[in-house]
Amino acid sequence: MGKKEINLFEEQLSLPGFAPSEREQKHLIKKIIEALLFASAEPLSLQKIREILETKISFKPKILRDALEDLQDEYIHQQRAFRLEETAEGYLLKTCEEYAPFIQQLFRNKRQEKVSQAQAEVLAIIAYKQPITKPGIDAIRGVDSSGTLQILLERELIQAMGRQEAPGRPTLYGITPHFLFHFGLKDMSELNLKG
Amino acid sequence: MDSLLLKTPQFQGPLELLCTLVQKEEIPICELEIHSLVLQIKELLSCLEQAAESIGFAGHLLLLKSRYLLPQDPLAVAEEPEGLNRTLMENLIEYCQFKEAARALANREEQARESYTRYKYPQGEIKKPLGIDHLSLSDLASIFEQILQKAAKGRTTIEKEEWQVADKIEWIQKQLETAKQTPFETLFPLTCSKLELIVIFLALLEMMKLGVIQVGKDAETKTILVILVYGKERN
Repeated sequence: MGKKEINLFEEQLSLPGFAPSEREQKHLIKKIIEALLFASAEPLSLQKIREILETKISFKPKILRDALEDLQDEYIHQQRAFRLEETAEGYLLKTCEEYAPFIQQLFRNKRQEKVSQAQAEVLAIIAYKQPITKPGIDAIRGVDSSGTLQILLERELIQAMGRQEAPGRPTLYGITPHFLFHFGLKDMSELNLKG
Repeated sequence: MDSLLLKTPQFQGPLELLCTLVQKEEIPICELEIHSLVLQIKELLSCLEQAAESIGFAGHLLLLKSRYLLPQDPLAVAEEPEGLNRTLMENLIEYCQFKEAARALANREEQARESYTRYKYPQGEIKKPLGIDHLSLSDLASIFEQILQKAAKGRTTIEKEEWQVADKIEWIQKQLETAKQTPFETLFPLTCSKLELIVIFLALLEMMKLGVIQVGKDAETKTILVILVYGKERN
């Protein structure tokens, strides 16, 4: 938005009697969300966006979702190189797949490692059975998972969620929000991978 | 990684599928020649990971078959072996489902890796502070004194309560759960009584001894930090 527009916006904020039309307001909110998304290093939840906006403006809650949907559509229609996606219980800008070969050049040697087959197995078990103890995981896999668990903990794909009220008080494991991001999942309900 | 493709008179395909079919009793175990299967597997094996898995599956098949072949103990309760068999099969089916889910996860990962974001990946390790060597006992003592002084100012009521180191350890762990590290002072709320402060301090020392936390100076700000030691959440 241009300099003039920002000034207009400032005026609107400072004049309590001035009520911008819903269309104008949505337009402004869209731009603010766009700026937030552009700058954010983590998925922004609807709640977070609302909190930030509410510090400066008052608006109908419905506008927020509308604005996000509009942005989502706009990026697609304008054929932008990125899109707005819901991932890990928040909104995030993601580059489109076709540019991956180029961005790969940019981030050479800095890419996240893929999970190994064993790690994927343990993650799948934890994701569906959480909270679950190490003996519980071992029983399903039939092999010892200590090493794999340790790596997954370090990668912050899983976390300790407390202890089971049983002899030895074994640690219970569950998945992290980072897990959702790593696998590009919107939320836990998207985990219907099991056949 | 491709699965091993096997050929038997009744079946042609990957070992996992064979295992599943046998469990579902779609292929009678009595007709399977485990010996020839094992020979085939041995020939086809190319990597270690594959080997471990195949041995697992072949082992299960062998177990099922031996169960079938061995005469049932007439004295044993009739239901028991059947029940055992069922849980074994259930386990196997469940495991196959998880393998499927793991494959699906790997696919999702593949997809997710095609898109880039500004998302900041966890660094895996918290930036290492200077460590306990840079702290002397007098340093710790002096902070504690400071806290006591601060606490002395804002006291109003006197309450009699019993504080236990174990409770405080739990409390500190909770405090560190999300932040992983925190400045020393934040663990000493000003509203605490002197006795409580002492117990918190003892709890910290105990946790250091157990290796659950580390205390160290931040390299830049020189503040004293309490850091949760990573991965020490074991039994």
